[in-house]
Amino acid sequence: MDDMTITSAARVRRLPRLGWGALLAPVMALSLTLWGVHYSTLTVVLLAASIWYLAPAVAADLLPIALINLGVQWIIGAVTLARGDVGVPAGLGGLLTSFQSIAASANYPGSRSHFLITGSPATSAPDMTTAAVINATAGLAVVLFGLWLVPRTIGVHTGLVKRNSELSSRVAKLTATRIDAVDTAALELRRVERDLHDGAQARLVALGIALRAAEGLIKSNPDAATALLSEARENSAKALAELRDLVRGINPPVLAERGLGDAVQALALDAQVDTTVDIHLPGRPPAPVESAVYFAVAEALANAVKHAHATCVHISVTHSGGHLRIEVSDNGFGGADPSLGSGLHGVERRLGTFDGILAVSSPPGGPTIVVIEVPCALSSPKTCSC
Amino acid sequence: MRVVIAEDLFLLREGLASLIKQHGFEVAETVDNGPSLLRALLEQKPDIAVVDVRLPPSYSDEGLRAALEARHQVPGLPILVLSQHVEQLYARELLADQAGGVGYLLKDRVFTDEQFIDALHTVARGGTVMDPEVVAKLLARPSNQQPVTRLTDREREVLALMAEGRSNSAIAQRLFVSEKAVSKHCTSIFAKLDLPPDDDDNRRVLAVLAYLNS
Repeated sequence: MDDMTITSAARVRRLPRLGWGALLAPVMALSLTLWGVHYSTLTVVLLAASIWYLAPAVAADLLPIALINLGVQWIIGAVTLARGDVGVPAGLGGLLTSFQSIAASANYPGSRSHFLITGSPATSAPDMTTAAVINATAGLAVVLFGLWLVPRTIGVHTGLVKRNSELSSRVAKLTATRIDAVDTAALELRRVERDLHDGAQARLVALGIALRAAEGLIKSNPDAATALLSEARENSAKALAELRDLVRGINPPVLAERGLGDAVQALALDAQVDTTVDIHLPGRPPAPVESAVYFAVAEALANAVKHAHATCVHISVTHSGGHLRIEVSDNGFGGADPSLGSGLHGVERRLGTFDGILAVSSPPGGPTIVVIEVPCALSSPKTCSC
Repeated sequence: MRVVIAEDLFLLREGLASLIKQHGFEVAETVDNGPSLLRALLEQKPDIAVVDVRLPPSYSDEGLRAALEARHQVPGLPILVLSQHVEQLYARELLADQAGGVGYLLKDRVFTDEQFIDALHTVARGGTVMDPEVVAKLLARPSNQQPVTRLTDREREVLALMAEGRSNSAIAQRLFVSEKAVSKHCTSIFAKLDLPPDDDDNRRVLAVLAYLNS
């Protein structure tokens, strides 16, 4: 389907540039034949040019119809000429009639365009027959050319329409995922701010107070001061521990230092259940993708332990065909639904920013399989073997 | 004892150097990036190196990589790795060569200098020191693999403290038992883990490894 879209889109792009000359040539030739160097010729050519430029899809529809119409009229004109009757057949309607009359007058002996076609003023009956044959042949060629164009221009038109609907659904999806991304980032910042405010910041305040108190006591009551100081030291260690946890929640150290493969391995090692991993990553995905995928895996793993009560989990990470694919399967109870829990839903929204998808198969009774797929390229292969 | 220090933050580097000097060590060289660390380790062949995991130029795990590479070229080169965070993954990589002389501690542990200096001595001697946080993570993980399941709760406790690099007397103090009791537990642990009679330090390393791999 992608190939088709690309082909028709490419065709549309090429038409105004490459196909332009080829398609305008018959229009110009016809106009010249009909009117010679005349303002009507100029009008028709300019009209055709503007339609092609402004609305290629409309031109794509109109061009074969106009060509076939012209060709048919030309043939009818030729037949009329051969019969020696230059009258206009009735009942063909407005547009047809006008073309008919143009075609007929064009072939009327002594007219300017007739001169252009036949090369000499036609006055005799054999000349009339020759002119009729030439006109009929030319008309047939134009009709055939018009018919040949039909499937091609229809392809362009449907391609354009399809492309349009694809583009609008893409715009809708991008708008939605962009809102998600902004919301997620804002939520994340609020969480970080709250954690810092209630955690490390509060501990540092307590630390300052304890140090100040110890300062006052150091001469009068050295024992109490010592106790305060060791409390302060404990507080600083706790602040550090909290900051460490916070950093782990923002950008896990192993992920920053080693990338997705080792970070998933570290997750598996720290997991509360027996977790095996199978990682085939020849390079590193872009950092934002790595991070989103890492937290998706962490969430799936946590769910397996917390909700599905799994006793063993397997994680596989592969990259093929421009897609990063992660599968987290467990032997738990199953029954997970991304639309119910906010965890998996959040993960899905975060992956959506990268056009990634999350699929969950979790029948009641298990097993649960979570598949994460994100289109992405890998950067240069790892330089280190460790 | 000659020490090489690798730490990119100036204040911390100087703090570490002065702390170590106060305890009678000699600072052979201080470096602030991965490539100089590897060169210093191979040239100086110090009695112990104190290495920060994250170092320039890439600010990834340059320090750890340099340490692993140096130990690859000079087996058993004693290295104490310091980090803002401890990971089982890195602990395993450090222990994988089974050569001992390895430590892995949170930077916070430097606050309690006795513990830090003890760790330096243990690692320099060829022992193994793992941060209590790594050990705690290991304890939190239910193990269904032999042979660690054969250990009693008390023996697991002793093994955990052993992994932290504590001596028998320190373990005895911690568990409020006699040193003799601890050494009995140790013998039992070594037997259950099928560790052949060997130099005690090395058996302790192997016991810790068995524990890590459980």
